[in-house]
Amino acid sequence: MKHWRNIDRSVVAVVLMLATTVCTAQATGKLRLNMEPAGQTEYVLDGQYRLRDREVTLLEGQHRFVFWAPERRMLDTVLTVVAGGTSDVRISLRYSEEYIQWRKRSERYESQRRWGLYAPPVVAAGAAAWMVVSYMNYSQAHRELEDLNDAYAASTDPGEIGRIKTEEIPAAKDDFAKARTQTIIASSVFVVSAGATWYLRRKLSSRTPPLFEDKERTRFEGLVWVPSGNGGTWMAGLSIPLAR
Amino acid sequence: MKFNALHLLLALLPLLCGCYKDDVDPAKLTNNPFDPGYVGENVFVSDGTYTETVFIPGVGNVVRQVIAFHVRSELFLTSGVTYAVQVHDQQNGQTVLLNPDPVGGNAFKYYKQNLVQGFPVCLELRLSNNLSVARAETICVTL
Repeated sequence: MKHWRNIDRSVVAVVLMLATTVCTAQATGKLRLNMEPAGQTEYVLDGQYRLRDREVTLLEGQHRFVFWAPERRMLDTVLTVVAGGTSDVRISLRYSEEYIQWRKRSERYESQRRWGLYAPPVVAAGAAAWMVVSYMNYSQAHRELEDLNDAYAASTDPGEIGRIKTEEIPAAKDDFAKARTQTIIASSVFVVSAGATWYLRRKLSSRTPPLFEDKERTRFEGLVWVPSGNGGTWMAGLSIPLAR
Repeated sequence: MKFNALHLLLALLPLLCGCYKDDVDPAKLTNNPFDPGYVGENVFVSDGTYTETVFIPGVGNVVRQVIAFHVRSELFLTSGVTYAVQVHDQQNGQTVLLNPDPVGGNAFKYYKQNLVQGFPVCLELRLSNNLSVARAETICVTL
């Protein structure tokens, strides 16, 4: 009887052991990650592993993922793995604030560079053409004035002489003054635009395009230690929200 | 080099605009004798007056007063000028247009049918072309 009692105890112990084994063995599940931007997105799993795989098999339960891609903002999230199943997760990373600001600065830089390089020469060329035409008109107006002076001397018609003196010469003088003013303005515009061309070309040649500093990358790489062939280094990031 | 080019352009500006001067002043254009506003020496010179007798068929011999004058063509600004002279007789108020006598010359003769003796006869003379007239000058002669 005592023997059977000992056998029962052993069976119970084995059953309990088996039961404990069954209960403590964790099942796994799959996560299929559809990440945007595709091919560039990396992630740190549970603060330990830096991966790029699109499919991971993990123990069931919650796991912490930190996603990142170049120029994108990090996404720190917790995903739950369902045992025996495959879960599709769609991850779309937004552009980082630094990248947005850099894009704006780059566009502004390109726009300024484009306008600075091409607009003044076009204006200068137009002003040069205007100056030449104005100067030709100015020269023509002066010639007409001289012709009228000669016509006065050559005329033997008192009526015509009166017309030359009271109508034609004043009109020609008016045209001459207008042509001279236009020539001065056109020449001034040409000189200013030529000067602006020279100045802007000199100034723009010394300007450098804005550089993009991917701070999110620094933060992301500080999350996990990745040993290289020569050993490894610890990286850490610290951000202080001064704005608050 | 570019800086020098800019200076060259700046120097070019006053050169461009300063090379032509507006030196034609209508008020100063007064040296043409055909100009109604002519200011200068007298154009007409009296050659005196005299009488002459002409035979007019059907009428007979007629005595008339001749007032001769000439134009100083050396005052003209151009040569080879054709023109007429408008004569206004201040004694009888008549106005006539005279051609040179002889043709192509600068001498003119004004004929008065009524002789005026002992009193000056004044004529207002103007160069004329295309029905317009120049400055008036007066000559007076006494028979």
